Amino acid sequence: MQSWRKLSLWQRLVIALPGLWLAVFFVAPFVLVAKVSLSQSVLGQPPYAPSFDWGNLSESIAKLRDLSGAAYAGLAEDPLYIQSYLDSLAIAAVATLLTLVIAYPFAYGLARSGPHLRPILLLLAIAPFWTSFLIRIYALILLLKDEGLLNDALIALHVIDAPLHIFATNGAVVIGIVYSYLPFMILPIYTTIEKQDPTLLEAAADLGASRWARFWRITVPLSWPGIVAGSLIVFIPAIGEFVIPDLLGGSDTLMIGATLWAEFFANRDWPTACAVAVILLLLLLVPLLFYERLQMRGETRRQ
Amino acid sequence: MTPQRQDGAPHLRLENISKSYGSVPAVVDLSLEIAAGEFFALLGPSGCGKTSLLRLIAGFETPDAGKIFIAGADMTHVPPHLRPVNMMFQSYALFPHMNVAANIGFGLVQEGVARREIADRVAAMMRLVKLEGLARRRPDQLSGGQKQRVALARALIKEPKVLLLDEPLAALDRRLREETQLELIELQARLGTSFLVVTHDQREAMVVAKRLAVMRDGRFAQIGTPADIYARPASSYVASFVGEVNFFDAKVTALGACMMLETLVGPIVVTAAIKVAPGTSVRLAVRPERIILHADAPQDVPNLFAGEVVEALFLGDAMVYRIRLEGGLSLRVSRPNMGSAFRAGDRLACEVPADACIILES
Repeated sequence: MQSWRKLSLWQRLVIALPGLWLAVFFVAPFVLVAKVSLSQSVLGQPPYAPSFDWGNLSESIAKLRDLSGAAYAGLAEDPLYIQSYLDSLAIAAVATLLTLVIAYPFAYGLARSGPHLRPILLLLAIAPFWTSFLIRIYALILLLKDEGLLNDALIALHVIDAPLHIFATNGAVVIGIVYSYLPFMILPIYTTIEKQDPTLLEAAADLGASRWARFWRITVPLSWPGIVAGSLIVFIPAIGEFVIPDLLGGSDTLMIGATLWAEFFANRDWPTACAVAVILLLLLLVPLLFYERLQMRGETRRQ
Repeated sequence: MTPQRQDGAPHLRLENISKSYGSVPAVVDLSLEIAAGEFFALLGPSGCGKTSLLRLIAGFETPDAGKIFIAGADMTHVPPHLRPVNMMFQSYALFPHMNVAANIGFGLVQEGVARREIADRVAAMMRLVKLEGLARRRPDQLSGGQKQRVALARALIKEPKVLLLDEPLAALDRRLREETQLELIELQARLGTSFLVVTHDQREAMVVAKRLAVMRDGRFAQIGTPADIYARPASSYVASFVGEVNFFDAKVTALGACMMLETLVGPIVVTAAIKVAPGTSVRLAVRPERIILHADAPQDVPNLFAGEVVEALFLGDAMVYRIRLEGGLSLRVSRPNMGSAFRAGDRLACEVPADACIILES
């Protein structure tokens, strides 16, 4: 690791740019949100107090005493919030697992496909991105609702007699998340499988491993970084997902994104909404930091 | 020379094996028998089909025609994981997510051997290939020589009937390669396993193998002991691929107790087992170390050719000369370094002993 002092101006600039980006678009907004979360809800504009005035610094410093953790205490007292977080985690976890189960065979097939088929399959994997996300979710409503295409087809095929109630349930939310995030799981797994040395599989076969054993003892462990990356890329945004539960979920669907929205826009309780957001961020950061540490450990072990 | 056989039947038998990739033939109608405990080498330039043959034996490819028998059983269509052979890959193909012990023990785990026994056998194998203390290392923490040993140990631990080695030492530097060649010979003798090594390095093939096959364009150009192939190459190709060689185009003039031939640089007398009718054009091959150099031409010595040293290369233990003979032919001569040496520009006489000439069809 080179010390900052030894770097040229250009190198410093290159390193500083992402830092600057993070400072302006992540740290500063987060400080604002954190500050509001420590404020009190009031009627007025803005709907929280205290509000600081940069022109009158001494008065602003005096106002610091008005900040409190009341909003957080409120979150802890009301089981609705805790339930929201738990439901969000559960839905995100189930959706991530399902996405993995569906994405892995696809990524495997993609990595093992020939040079002619592969670009086509890759294109198919990312083709949904060419349509608006919202339109795709609305299309899912048409598919999943009681008189939707899926139920019509199943009834026509005499698989079921009465329509399945999928739409407006947590199941629909999971389906929506799996569908929307599938490419984000496929791509990192595909790259880790694709770059595996095929002679490793030959070596395993030579040492007596059947096709099944080769898959579980060589292919899967070597694609582990892709599995972890894909799962985090799906799991983290899925926890805070708002649009999918709003459109596909039912009245009993309780996800933290919707709760946050309700506090902010329906109740105009900005401090509580901000406190919800801060806790959500911490919930997301912890697995991310854990993953980073895991990777760092892997790096140092390699050296 | 016949290979030594320990249990009668050959351990590996190939019957008329052919394999093409598309319209490109890789292996053409090859038959071969390798005895139990034999150290055999397939020698040839890249693209001659030697690696294809190894992959056919390992089971990664299926022959278009012919049969493969291993320890008496027909293995032609048996998948690789059920064949009693193991392979050491040129790239080593160590599993990067497993440590040394897990890599070596992989085959035993697949066999369902008890955990304790695996640990014991891995430890014994690590002692055998001198890898003690490295059990917990990952492949990317090993040197090239250590990786090579892990690959060898991993392939040997299942006690294969035949160990296949694909360019096993190609990635090592010269000194380590020479050491490892000797270790391989010792290991093979100790274990009694048949070793089949593929190499493009003729020195390596001759050092390690009891018998070798020189391959060209998917066929065997010659099969024999290293000494046999070196002394009696079957063709110009084999003669030039195995060791250095000088060629003379010659025409047979008389047949008696010896054979008389006429070459570009004058008449030459040859004592050879092969008898060729006078008038036939042949090719003479002479190894560079068989030619004797005289500063002053001796009397009553046949096959003396006057020439001039064009180039003298100092190799430490030997001198290699390029000598232009009167008549235009260029000769390569190597002599052990005994202190005094010829220099470029020196005039001398080259003696080609009558028994040093190999007669090849032209």
